[in-house]
Amino acid sequence: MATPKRRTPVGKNWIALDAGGTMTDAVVVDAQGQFLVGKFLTNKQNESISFLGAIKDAAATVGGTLRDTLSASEVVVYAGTIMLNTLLSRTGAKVGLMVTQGFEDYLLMEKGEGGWISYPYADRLHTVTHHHAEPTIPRNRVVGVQERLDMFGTLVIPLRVKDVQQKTRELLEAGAESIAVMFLFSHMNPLHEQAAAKIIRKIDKNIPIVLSSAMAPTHKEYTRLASVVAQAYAGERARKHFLQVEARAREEGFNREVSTLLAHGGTVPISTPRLYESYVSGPVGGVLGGHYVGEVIGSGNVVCCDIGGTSFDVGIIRDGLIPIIREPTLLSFRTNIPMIDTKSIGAGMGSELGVHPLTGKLTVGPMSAGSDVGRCLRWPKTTITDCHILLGYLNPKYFLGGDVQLDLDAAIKALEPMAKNFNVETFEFAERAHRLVCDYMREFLVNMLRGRGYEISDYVMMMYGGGGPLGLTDVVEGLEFKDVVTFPFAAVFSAFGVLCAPRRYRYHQSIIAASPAADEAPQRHVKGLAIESINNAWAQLEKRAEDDFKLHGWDFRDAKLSRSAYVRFTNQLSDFEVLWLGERLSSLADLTSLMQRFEAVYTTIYPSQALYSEVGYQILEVALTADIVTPKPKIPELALQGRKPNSAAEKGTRKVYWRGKRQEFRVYEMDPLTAGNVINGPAIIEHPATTMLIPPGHHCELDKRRLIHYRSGQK
Amino acid sequence: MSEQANSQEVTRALQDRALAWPDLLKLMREPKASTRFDETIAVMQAAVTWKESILLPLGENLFIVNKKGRAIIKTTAGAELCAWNENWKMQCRVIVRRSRKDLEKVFPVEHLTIDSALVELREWICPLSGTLLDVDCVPPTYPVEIDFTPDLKAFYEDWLGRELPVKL
Repeated sequence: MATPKRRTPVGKNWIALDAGGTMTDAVVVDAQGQFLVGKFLTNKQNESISFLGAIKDAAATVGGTLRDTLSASEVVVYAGTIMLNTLLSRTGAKVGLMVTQGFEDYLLMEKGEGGWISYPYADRLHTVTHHHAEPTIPRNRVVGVQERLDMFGTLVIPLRVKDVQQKTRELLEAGAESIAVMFLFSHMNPLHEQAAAKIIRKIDKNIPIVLSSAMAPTHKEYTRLASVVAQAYAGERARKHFLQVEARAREEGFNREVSTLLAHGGTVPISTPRLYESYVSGPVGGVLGGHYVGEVIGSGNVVCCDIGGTSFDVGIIRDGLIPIIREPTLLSFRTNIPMIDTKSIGAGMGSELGVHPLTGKLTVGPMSAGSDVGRCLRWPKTTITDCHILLGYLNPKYFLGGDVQLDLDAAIKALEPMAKNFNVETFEFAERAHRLVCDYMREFLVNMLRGRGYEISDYVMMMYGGGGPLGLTDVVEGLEFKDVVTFPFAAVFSAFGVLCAPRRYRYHQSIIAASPAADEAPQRHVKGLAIESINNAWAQLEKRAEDDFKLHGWDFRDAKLSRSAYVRFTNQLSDFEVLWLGERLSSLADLTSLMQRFEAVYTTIYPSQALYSEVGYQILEVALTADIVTPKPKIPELALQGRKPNSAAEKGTRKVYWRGKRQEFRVYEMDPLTAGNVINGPAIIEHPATTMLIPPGHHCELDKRRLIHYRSGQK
Repeated sequence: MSEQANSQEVTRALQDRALAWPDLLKLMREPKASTRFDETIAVMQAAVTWKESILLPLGENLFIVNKKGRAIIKTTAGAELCAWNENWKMQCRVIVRRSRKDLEKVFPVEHLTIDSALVELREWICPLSGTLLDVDCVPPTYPVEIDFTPDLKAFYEDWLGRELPVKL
């Protein structure tokens, strides 16, 4: 939201970069909370080029230089695609994998789902499209050794030292550059993995060893294995790329450590030992931003919606809790990286339009034009953007602030035959196509909310992404959100969100604990064991956190710890994270209180009749987050300037086709709008990176923080 | 024009099994292109030395072709076997493998699970070039049968919507 006349930022800058598949966005926030925004085409071969390019672009908006901006910067967070690219380009390390004897083919079996897990639904159904990529670790570098622990971590077959020695030599001969060790049930007891590591270390003094029990000790063998493989294969290579980026930043005057964003929404320096967690898929930044803005405006329930060119992404924050999934997929792997939960559909503002060859119906997506926009620029197929040009929603002469000229005639030429095919007028066709894509998004959103039993009116909706303000009005139509908020800087909101991320580590540990329903002596004994094992697990996780803090030179006494347990009714499949505000469970009453908290969480999702307290509870995993409280970018509060926008914002009128007829819409420029301004519909607000549509009978109001509230009625 | 040429290139690569997996996946996800049949025929026609135009492929080295207004079955090497709706296997050379010893010549022993007392292998060979055209694995005494005879007329007239260029 760079207003034209902005000073060069002074004091300490915060910089966040969000590298997407197409563009790298940079947001620079100075000590006063002022924003600078820059964009650069993502360079996948050398991300340091797009990294510096985006910051330079941001600095240039106020006539600043790269060096000035970087040398005055306190924090640089880089949420990139480095990890993903290392995996995709198959340029990872030559890993040797040591597993429990008999489980050597585990990786090849891909949990029976690796051939299609990353596919859209239609392709999952068509087995011809299923495909097994070359394994990241070839079978000749996977070895099995004799050992066995049972599910409680009790020793069944001791580790055969000779096996480890011989197989280690085999792996080294096969060219292994690092060795990953992954034994069955090592999450319950790391004994054998640690013993194996010692033996390997004796044979080779330098080879990096990755232990599954040290990395991510949670149950489900395959997800743990996949995480170990991701770290061993791509972790260290990715670190090299990160270090390149950091080295270039230092050459330009930056004198601190570059940080990266982890999938669960924490930021850590790139020296973090488990860099595989920086594999971030989807719009994690936006959810963090939504969470922060929710805190600022006092709402714990936020629906974060991101409309991009290709996809529509939704994350739901409830009671101030960022939703975490524990088994996200990473390409063809299902891993146990805790990740912010977002869901997507392949419908965005650049989605291709087509006619289904069998049904003759209009189709939208999943292909999109990306930065090629549509027929109006240089994409061979017609897209939703072509419709927006025709309808007058977008100004073909003001796309990206006029940097790119769109061709209205080409859009018309593309749309006319399609409209004819459906026997409707071209304008009507374009409007219906736009409404269809928005309908898809609304249905998706509503299903997500209602499917979890949430009440729409409890939620504030935040809409962002380049297409967010444009799709907003049709997506929220008929939905009674508590408030609908969008942002002048909607297009780079995800990068802004990255800046809102805390410095945070998150740890998970599997345990076996139960809290039976009855309260006789035997049950009390079981509960006592449960308390012990939960407390022990938390203590273990705190130890891991302390080690990681030490590595970065942070004082562990400053850490803000947050403990939780994953509780389920005995033998049910879904468990839910329950926060525990105290330090330890000190009595049976504490355990009961934890279970009550679980039931409270449970009944926000299911009706209270579904409670099944009679069967008791199981706790199979606990988690810990360790934060250092860091300042967040300020959203400054401004003096209200009155409802009428100043004349600098007014750009005249244009004809917009809305609900069947062409109407005059007033046109405004986004940046000169000030806090307190009210824009009554019909109106359009233009910004170089986004356009907001306000139909008749609606208005929007900029509050004291310049957040835009969209409401029905006129003011 | 360039898009057409490109589409022909893709079909050629598809036919030559030279498409990279991501391209192949894209192709499978798309609705079948209406030009694909003609493009495929063009690729096949370019790969044979004879002049008769291909009406429909029956196998990798077996085609129904238009020979002076009549539909006949012809191999890549140029052997003209029979009319389009006759049993072309009757015109082939054949190798029949009945004993375990014979089977071991084509199967690695550790993978040889078929019982030579129950089934035999019949390898249908092009009489001109010796190219393997088809293999049957059937019980001994099983009649010589071809997989299918296409409904040439329906395919051309109902599916492609054009006149069948031969008289049946």
